[in-house]
Amino acid sequence: MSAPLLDIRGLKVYYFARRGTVRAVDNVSLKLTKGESLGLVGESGCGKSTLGLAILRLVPEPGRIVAGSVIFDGLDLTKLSEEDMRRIRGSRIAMVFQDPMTSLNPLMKIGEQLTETLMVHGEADKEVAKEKAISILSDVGIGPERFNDYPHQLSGGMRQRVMIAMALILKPDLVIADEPTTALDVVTQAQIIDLMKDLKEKYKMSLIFISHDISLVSEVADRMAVMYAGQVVELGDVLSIFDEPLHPYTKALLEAIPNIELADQKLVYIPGSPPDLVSPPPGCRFHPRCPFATDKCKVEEPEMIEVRPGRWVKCFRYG
Amino acid sequence: MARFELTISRHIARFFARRAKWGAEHYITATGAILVSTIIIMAIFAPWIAPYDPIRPVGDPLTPPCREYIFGTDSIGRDVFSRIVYGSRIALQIMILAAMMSLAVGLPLGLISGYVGGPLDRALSLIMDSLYAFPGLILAIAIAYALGPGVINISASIAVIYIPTYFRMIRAEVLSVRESLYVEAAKGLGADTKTILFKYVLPNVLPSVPVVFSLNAADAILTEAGLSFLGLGLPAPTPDWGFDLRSGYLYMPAGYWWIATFSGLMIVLSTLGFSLLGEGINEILNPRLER
Amino acid sequence: MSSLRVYIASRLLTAIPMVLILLTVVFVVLRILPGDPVVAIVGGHAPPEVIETLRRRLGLDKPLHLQYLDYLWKLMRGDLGKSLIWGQRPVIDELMERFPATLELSIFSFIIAVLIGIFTGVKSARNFGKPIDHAIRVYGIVTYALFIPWFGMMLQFIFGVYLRWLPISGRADPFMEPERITGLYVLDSILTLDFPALISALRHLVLPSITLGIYISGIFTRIVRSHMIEVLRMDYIRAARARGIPEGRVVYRHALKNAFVPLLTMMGLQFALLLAGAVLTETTFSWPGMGTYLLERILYRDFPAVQGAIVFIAIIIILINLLVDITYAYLDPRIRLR
Repeated sequence: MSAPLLDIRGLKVYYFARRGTVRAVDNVSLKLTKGESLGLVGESGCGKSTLGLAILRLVPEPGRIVAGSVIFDGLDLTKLSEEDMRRIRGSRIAMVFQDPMTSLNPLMKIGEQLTETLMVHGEADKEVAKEKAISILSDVGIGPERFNDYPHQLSGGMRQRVMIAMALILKPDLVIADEPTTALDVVTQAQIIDLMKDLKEKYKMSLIFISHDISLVSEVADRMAVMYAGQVVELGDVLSIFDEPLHPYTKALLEAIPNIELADQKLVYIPGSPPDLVSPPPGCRFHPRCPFATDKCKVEEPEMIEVRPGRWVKCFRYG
Repeated sequence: MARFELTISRHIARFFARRAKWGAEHYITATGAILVSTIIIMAIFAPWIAPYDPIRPVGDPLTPPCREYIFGTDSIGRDVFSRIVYGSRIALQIMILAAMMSLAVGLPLGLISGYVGGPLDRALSLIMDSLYAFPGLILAIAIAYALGPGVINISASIAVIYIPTYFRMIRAEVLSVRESLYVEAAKGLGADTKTILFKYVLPNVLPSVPVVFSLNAADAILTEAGLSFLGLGLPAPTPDWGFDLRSGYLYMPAGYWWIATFSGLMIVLSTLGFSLLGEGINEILNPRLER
Repeated sequence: MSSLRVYIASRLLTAIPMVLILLTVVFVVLRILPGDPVVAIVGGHAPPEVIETLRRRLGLDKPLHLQYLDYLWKLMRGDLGKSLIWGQRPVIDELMERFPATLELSIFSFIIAVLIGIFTGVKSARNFGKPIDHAIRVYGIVTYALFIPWFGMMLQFIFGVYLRWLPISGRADPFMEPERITGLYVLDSILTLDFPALISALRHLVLPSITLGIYISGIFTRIVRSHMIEVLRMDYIRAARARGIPEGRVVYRHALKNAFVPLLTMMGLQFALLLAGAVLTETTFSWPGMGTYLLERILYRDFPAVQGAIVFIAIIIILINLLVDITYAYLDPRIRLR
């Protein structure tokens, strides 16, 4: 069993806002091995995006990492200097963001944005940089004639491909994709997912795929972590979770997926609303919306238990 | 109206209650409030604060600041300090008058224009935009030139500059409120335009007025001082800060610095007071979103 | 038709009515408002024949609507009337003589204000919420309260009278003015390689442009800060940081570069304020520009000159605003390349 590429231990990320302290990521532990795809699923506001940003130490003010460690290939990222961290960003860990229109500099040609990434990481030769940029663009399916285009001259799908190209240009070990297809239409979404799967194979990278769409995550990821209210509530490989969801929240998420084959369907939804992360419910955070909640759930917080090898749940129903 | 007053006193109470949690904007507002109150007190209690008559000579001309004359005397022998104290009356008078005139014209025009819309709105907006683009002081100079001196005339000159500001602000508020649900509901219940304007639109528009008023006040003081300094303000011997600055100016190269310095300083401090107050209140009522 | 041309056309379409409105406002203010300009010129005790002659000469005896049309017609041909005093030269000529002085002062003040504004605004935005941010915001408020004549006087007193380092009035030392090519002393002295004139002109520019420049810089600081805060919150800034781009480069090459054109535009639109401030600055420093011309003619009751100067200013303002708008549209590739 080789050492994990990414080992997150007890990570806590809080936002210190005027109305109170938002506990966006509250004691999360995860491991990712080399070459693996991990999906991170949860509703809006559950902390998954913050977790992704925290790995790269890009959590915006007034947020801060308050506890825990993020060990990447032996290095604790939370303890690195800003300059060392900067060197890792883009070159060893890269991120793909949700909205490609706003994530690309509108006043800069896309070719330039690519070559810039190379040059700030040490590539001195402009010609070499340009070649590499054109090469990666063709990998994502964009021809060299687009090199001098501005972002607004490309379609949404193409822009996202550019984003992916920018993430991959330095051949990072880990790519974090935060809702990469949410801003796209369904057809383009499928194309991008296929592209990502191909590139993952080709470049042998590890991937963290963040999304609120559990069925989408299941297509891309090997393993999956389900997050709720800043905590991971279930963890395991994708097929196993789909076959047999353990946590009540996971069950509810899966039941909520409409089945395209059934004729008359009532849309199932999870009653209640996501908890306020400033003052989350005591005990198990899901208990107000859980059909199986007991009195114990209202008072005590369950531990993360390994029910089977590789299958973890945070629920009293399993121990 | 009573409701409005209650909100003000509640706001002020809350302001002081949470002193421990004061941020920078609270200190700014407090400083502004202190400066403004000082000026107001100076204006109201002028006869008791000023040691001498401001328009009659009381000592030797051009005496430097000393125990008898705290800020010295001017070229005719009048006490500079007394002139400054009484000057606050003129400054405040004109400022309030100008602001009220602006509001009196700008508010109704903004209300009607915003609510009625159509070609009237377009025409009025174009006129207001044109006026707004023109340099304020120069507009005031033109009007002061045309109307001549006098408190009302000067106030009118200044008032014209800010009509577009009030107009725009009110109109913007009206536009956003006009489409809101409760106005729709009121219309559905058969309320007529006048009622809608007064009962629904106006109360929503009013909260933004104090902030603009405060900043407007700061500007008005500067413009009035500017007009006086340029010789288009009130005639001598009225104690006016801008006027004294101008007359003091002539004696500065010879080393008689106190006339110009103190009168100018008053202009700066009162402008500063109203600016700080306006900015501070604005920041407290509409805090910038944290990231 | 390129979208840029469409844009220019639409802006022109708004600019023309605005000029017309301002011209009408000037007309209304100077003729319809109470007060007989003729009496104001010659005084109430002049004999009636003199008053009538003057009235006829100024065209003020005709019915209002004819006056208005006459006024507009003359303006379209560039005729701003003739001055009533000192040789009765065409007002437009006198204005063109004075205009370069105001222009030069405005340019230098603008540059100073922009430099201060960008430096402080960026610093403030980068350190949002920290003490330096609050200090700079206070700076912005304080500078606007620095009443120009007073501030100018204080500088004059300290640097001119007390320390005697710099001159306090005029554009150049007597007999040191450069040969007049453009009317901009700095430019002219460079073009004629007249270095003593250059030094003299620059020395005279220091205090007035610092006075006006610092006064305006407060507003610019606020504009820059506000815009930079917005830009720094943008997704592409975050994405740039995620690629490992150093913070300095992110702020300057990405954020500021993107913000630069809109910022310059917003600052350019403050030209009206600059001009208003110039009037006070010119008076304080005895600077022979349009501001002092206007006031001088008011003092002498030279009605055509006063009217002409105000009209001239109105047209310049609208022109500058138009120019700034168009430049902005030209420089934004989103509008240019459609």
